[in-house]
Amino acid sequence: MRPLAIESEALTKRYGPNVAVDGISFTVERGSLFGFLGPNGSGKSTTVKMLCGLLAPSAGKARVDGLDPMGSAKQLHRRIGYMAQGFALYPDLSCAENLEFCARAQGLKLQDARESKERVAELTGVARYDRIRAGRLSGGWQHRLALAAALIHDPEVLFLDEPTSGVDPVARRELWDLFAAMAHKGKTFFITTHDLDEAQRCSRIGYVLDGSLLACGSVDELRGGERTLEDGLVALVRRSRR
Amino acid sequence: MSGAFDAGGLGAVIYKEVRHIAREPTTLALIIAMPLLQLLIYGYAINLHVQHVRSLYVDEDRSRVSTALLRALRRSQAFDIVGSVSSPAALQRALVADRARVGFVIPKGFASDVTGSTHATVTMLVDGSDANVAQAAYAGAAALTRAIAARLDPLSESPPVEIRPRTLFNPSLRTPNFLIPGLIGLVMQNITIVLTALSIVNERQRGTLEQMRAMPIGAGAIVLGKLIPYGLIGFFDLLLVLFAMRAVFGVPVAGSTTLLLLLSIAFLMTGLGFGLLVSTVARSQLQAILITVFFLMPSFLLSGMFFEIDQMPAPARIISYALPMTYFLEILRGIIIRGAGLSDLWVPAVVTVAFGVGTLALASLRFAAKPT
Repeated sequence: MRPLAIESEALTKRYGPNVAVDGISFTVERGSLFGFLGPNGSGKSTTVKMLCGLLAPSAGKARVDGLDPMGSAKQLHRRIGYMAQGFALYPDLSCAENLEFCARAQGLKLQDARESKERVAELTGVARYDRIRAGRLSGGWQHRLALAAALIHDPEVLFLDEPTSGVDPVARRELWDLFAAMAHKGKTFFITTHDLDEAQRCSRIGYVLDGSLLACGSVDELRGGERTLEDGLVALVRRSRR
Repeated sequence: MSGAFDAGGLGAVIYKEVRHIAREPTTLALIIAMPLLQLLIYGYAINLHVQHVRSLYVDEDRSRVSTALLRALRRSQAFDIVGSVSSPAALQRALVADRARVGFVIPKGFASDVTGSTHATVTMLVDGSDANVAQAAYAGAAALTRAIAARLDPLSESPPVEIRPRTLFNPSLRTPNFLIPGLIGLVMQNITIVLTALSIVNERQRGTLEQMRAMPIGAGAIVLGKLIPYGLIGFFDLLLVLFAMRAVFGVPVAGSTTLLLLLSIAFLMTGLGFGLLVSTVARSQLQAILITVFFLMPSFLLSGMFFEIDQMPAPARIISYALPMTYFLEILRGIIIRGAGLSDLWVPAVVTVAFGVGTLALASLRFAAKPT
């Protein structure tokens, strides 16, 4: 077994009497694509925020790249990339300005920042829109720009929250190809999605519903002998509700 | 588009809009509190009829006649004798330090002048900063002179005692000299609060604040990085208004510009801190604006900007003295109009610095506790 990039142990988030994330435990190996699958409101984003040190868990613990997300947030943030749900960049700044800001905010020196910016702009294809204001890009290009921003400091682990929702099929295919290629080179991806087709491109899937992790394994394991992944999940959810 | 107007649709839109308003407790509270507060301030706190002007005196005569005059002054509605000083020079210093708005000098030999039918003169030093106050003092002095004349010698042609006014600081009673220094504070306060609050609320709504939190910047650097540019804008506006005040309106700065700029930095900190504080409360840009307006209104009306705090009833004065603007206004008018120095203004200076540091610290703590 390869070394672990993410370990979650009974991670829980409560808001008063409501349980958003209910004791989720799983591990993600280094250099793998982990799909965190579940419907909207199932606690995916909350889990990501706890793993990224943006939200303190109510109980349980986590390790990301060997670090405690809340305890060593600053060190962690140098090693992870976080792409929030929705477009969280500055629409009034150009693509280049957005990326330059992220690079400098990550603590890169001026020259390194410029090189990193070129590298991620080239990698994601946004280089051609360098001087265009981010707010004028189409949804697909905004997602690529956001990904470029998350990659700017060459992080080891990437947390992408619904990175391809609302994106055209071509952009989606290209983005997933990029994730796969980068994972192949050793980067770890933790990607939330509610799309079964997307999830099937992951080496492992965790399926969450109402804050609980119902299953975690490869696509075949989650299919559990059924014909398709959807059938497998239907059976899984029905069993859990019995 | 189907027809231009559909009555059922109109009803639906109105109903929906009312639901939106009713669902936001902050907006709802402001809808009720805003008019009530304005009503209270305009109806109750503001009094344009100036009376009881704070006054000091120097009695160099120390006679029964001078004592009688002081008694008459104490009885008058126009003046409030708040104390005495030892010399005319001390009186002038006290006016610079804003211990009083008016000072009476009863010269040596006053009693013999009155009895010996020579013209007896009392000098009244008047702080001309606020034309309303100065004119109330002139009118009060004239009324007092007439009353004394009627008592002493009803048949005399010329009054036996004359109160001769001498107006200091703004002798021509020009309104710009009075209002523009105050405007500096208002401009600085409004621009820093509104810009800071809006920009942070905007980042929070857009998700970029959370994105920044996922970078190794730290909450402290995020806050400072947001505040410093807006602080510089406030400082730039200060210089702009200060320059225009001199160049366009011909109002000079009587005191130390350096002291003015230094204390302005403390006041800017209050504005920035308050903007940050608003951003931790407001959930939308609209709310941020409403909350800001709600708090700016008292500092517009109750800080002494247009209306004398001395003339307000006690509850309104309590609010006045809780406003940072009140103290900064004292500093602005003190330095610009009266040429006051730090020794005259140390109380408002200390309060302004305390407000600046306190507001900013409180706001930073709140922001750090719940940054996104």
